Amino acid sequence: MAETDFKIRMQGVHKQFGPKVVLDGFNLDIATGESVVVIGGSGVGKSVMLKCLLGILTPESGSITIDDEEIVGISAAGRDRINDKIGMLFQMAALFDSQSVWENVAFGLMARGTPRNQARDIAVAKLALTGLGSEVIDLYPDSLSGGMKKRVGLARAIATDPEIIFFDEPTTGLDPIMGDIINDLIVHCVEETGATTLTITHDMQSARKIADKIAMIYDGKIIWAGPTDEIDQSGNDFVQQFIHGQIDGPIQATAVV
Amino acid sequence: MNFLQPIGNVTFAFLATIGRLVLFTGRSLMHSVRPPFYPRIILKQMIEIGYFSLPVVGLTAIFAGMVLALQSFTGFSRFSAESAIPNVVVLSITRELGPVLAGLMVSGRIAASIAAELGTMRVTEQVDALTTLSTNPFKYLVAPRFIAGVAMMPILVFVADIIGVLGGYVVSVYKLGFNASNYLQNTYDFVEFMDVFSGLVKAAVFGFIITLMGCYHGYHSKGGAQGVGQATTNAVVSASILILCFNYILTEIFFAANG
Repeated sequence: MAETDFKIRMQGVHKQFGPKVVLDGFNLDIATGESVVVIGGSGVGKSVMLKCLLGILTPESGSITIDDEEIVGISAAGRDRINDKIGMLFQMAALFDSQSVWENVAFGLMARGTPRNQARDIAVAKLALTGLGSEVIDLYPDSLSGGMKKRVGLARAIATDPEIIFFDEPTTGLDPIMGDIINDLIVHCVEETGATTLTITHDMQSARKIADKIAMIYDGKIIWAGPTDEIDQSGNDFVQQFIHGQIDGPIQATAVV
Repeated sequence: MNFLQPIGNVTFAFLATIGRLVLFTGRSLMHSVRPPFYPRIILKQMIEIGYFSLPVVGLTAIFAGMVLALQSFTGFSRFSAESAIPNVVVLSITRELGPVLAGLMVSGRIAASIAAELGTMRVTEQVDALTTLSTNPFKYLVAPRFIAGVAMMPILVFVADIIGVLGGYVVSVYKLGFNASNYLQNTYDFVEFMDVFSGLVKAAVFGFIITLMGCYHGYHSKGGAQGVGQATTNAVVSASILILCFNYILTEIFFAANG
């Protein structure tokens, strides 16, 4: 059997804030080209995991590798090299208020030295991929709806044709129809770019649509991981309670506050 | 012994804040002198800090100069020393009132604005977004404001000096009956290079303090709208206190030895 080519590996990652342990020996492997969705309740460490991957937070122990390169304790130059491979869609899009739509999308390109005119053309093309026309390119984020902001954020995430894309709660705050449109756009854009993706969400409809593999985080660890079509037969009480949104079960409300 | 615990906690928290501030200052200075630079953003900040602060600084300076002349006249006329008014006005304005009042006014305008802007960017994940877009937040957000603050404050204070002296001139000539050319000649003869230069050095230091406090509190804000509001308040209060504190220290350095 051929050895799996892992794009991202997190092994034994431990992160705590004061006495509160958020990641407790966290393990997750993502193969190249795979789309993995991590599900879990609020406050169980999904965002912390993502911030550790992005280098915004540094874990106390454990190993995180991207393309077999250790990124825990990596130099600033090394971190920049890793970040060049990454695109990110933030939960509330995190668009820069002071910049127009096209400047937001082209920001990463210009930071890498792409001339302004060329970056603008690429931004327009990427916005078109997300269903936004030329009429929005000179608008500013405060004049966009929530759904449009997500689309601009998605265009920004894919603007540099990254090898890896992270999606943080991509459908949060959107109505079900707009949420589904964003899900379709994510699937479409990922197919276009061929990127490896990691999504964190608690929206099961979104998870089923986007994911090749779903993993559930609880109490700082991955408690179940498997192909999307096997989640309903996971045999894991925590997973079953979460995906069916039941109050009764092993997950206590106090644990996810 | 329990009463010692809060004292210890406060001491540790204070020392931790000092440590964070020193590290933040070091990183900011390092990124301010090492490329890449962002000239468009530096220029934008220079306009924001320098040009748009001119009206408030100018108004403050002219009224400070006017009231200084008026009060000096009230006091000096008691022992027939009215002729010293031009000297007192120019010395007070260039050495103290120009830089300090401009510093306090700009800190209210700029430290608050920087803290609110960076704080909002922090709580809406825009700062994190910069990192993922291969852009160092210190280079992109902090360094341009540092450079603009240190560069523009001396220019602002130089303008404030001129307007402040003009305020004293207007009151002295048109209200107190001084001879216009004598007033200007006295002012010119009395003022020394060091008086103006010390004020401009103070201004540069105050520009550094204002942008440092704005950036530091904004960059470390958390907790949503309330956190941003708190950061804004802390930035203005700490910048104002540090300006007054460093004003004394710089005055000691410049003038304690030779008056």
